[in-house]
Amino acid sequence: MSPALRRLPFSGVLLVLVVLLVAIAVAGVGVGSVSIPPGRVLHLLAEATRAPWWGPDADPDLAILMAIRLPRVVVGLLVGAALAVAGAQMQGLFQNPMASPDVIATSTGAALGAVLAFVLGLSALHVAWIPAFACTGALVSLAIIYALTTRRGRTPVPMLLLAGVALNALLGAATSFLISLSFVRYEVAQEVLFWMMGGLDDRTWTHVLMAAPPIAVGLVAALVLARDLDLFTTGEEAAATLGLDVERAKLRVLAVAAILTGTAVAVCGVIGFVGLIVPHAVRLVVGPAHRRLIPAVALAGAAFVVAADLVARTVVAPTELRLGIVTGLCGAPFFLWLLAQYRREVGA
Amino acid sequence: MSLTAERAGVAVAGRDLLREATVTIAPGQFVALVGPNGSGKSTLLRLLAGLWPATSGRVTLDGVPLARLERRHLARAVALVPQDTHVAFAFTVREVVAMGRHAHLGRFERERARDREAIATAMARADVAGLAERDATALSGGERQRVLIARSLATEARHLLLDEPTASLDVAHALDVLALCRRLADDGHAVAVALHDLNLARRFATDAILLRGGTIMAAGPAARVLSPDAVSEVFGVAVAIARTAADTEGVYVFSRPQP
Repeated sequence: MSPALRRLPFSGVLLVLVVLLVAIAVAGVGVGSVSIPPGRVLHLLAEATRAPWWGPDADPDLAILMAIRLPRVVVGLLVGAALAVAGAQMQGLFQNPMASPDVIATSTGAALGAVLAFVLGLSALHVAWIPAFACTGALVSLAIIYALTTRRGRTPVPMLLLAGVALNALLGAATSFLISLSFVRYEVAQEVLFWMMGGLDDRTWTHVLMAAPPIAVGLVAALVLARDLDLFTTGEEAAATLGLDVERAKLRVLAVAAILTGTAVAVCGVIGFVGLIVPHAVRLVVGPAHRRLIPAVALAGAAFVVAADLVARTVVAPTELRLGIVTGLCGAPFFLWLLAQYRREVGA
Repeated sequence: MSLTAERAGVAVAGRDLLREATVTIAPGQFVALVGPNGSGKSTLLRLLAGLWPATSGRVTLDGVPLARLERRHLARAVALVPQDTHVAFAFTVREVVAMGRHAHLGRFERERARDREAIATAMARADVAGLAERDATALSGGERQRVLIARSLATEARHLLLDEPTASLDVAHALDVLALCRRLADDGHAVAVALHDLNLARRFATDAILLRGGTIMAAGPAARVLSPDAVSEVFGVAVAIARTAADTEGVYVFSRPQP
């Protein structure tokens, strides 16, 4: 007999997450080679609306804050929210707690799309080509995985993981192929490697402008589709008999998850495990109902990525770790733990 | 109010799963769908639920073909309890039952008093009110079956279709679930249940449909359709009736006929 589920009040959880997010963001812009205390961060932010960011009279801290630290943190917030919500959507759609953008190769598909746009020279014509190609790559790989692994709304765990391994290998090889073609042009190869490794270094307001609109649209759409995802929990046929247009709902969820993943990868490359850990942890606290899960996951994902980036920048300062190393160190053991849980569940 | 299939067939990849099925499920009936494995019981239920389209003939709800009805409209009239009752995430029992209101609520609408009442009534009738805050993934098979029946009641659909609800239940829970189905039929629901256990079918059903190889062999009052001769013919087994003093109908005892 399991005890009754005890959950914390949802508004309280949201409040805690918002406070946490603000605190981490303030720390994120304050900590670095030049440290800016929290009070001064707020003061400088107010000043930035009035004074020019640089020039002979400008405060040097203001330039550091506005030109370097703040865009980096804002990109981190956007990417964290996007990857975590995409992970929550995938877990809901696949009915499988191990689905997430990196495990099932959606991120790799997005990276291939971004690299392709770059190698073809499209990114020089307009920056929007990169997210457009990345989103397309994400959608194609997501659709392949879904078609391969899911029957009547049920996705066996081994099937999902093996298909993810295979597609990750295939798309990774294709990306490596493009990279080896472009090694003759050093700067291209370097940029391409950035997408493979993932990170928030040198992100600017251009990246914020590139990522903010599609991610904002994606997050709102994910909220709109939240209740539909709940119905998948007892299988596709049951969802249909409860009044859901299953095929249409699936397409919408896949499209939104692809836009979120594709945009995130377009601005900061492949950052692993955010979409796996965050939905899991949040589900334990607010329960699986997606109308509560999605907003809480967005806040927690944003906080997680900015916090991980803060660790990456400071733990072995002045050297910076790649952000992907930090999320991987948190995420991979967690993934193994999930596998152990699964093994106990199926009694293998 | 009736759900009717008229000479309806289902073919998948050129293979007939169901041929020329003519069936009516009406209020007050508990119709047992009985037949060997692969005889088309689940196909008939999916056809009646509008999950699979009729590839020949037609299925109608109050005279309107299902294909012309919106999913949401159909969901308020016909509910299916699937055979697979696995719940993937730790929803509470009440949350699972509340999913039955999906077709009654707009995308951003919250539950109103009317919905809460329907959910509470459904949970009380299926005897799961005491489980409301429990984790639906941690229930026994019998409890989960009743939770999904409660969810189908929360839709307030008058037609309830159940696909082998007793398949994974012990005998006590099987009796409970079928007694519940019978009570729902007596209260004016139209209930159709795919069943493997012929003795349970004889005991609880008012009507029966006997299928073999995708064809309806007999349909009508349970006592007539499930006669020893018909059962013997369709399942290819010998049927003897064992009676005790207090039991006038007796139970069937099956054996393989000797070659």
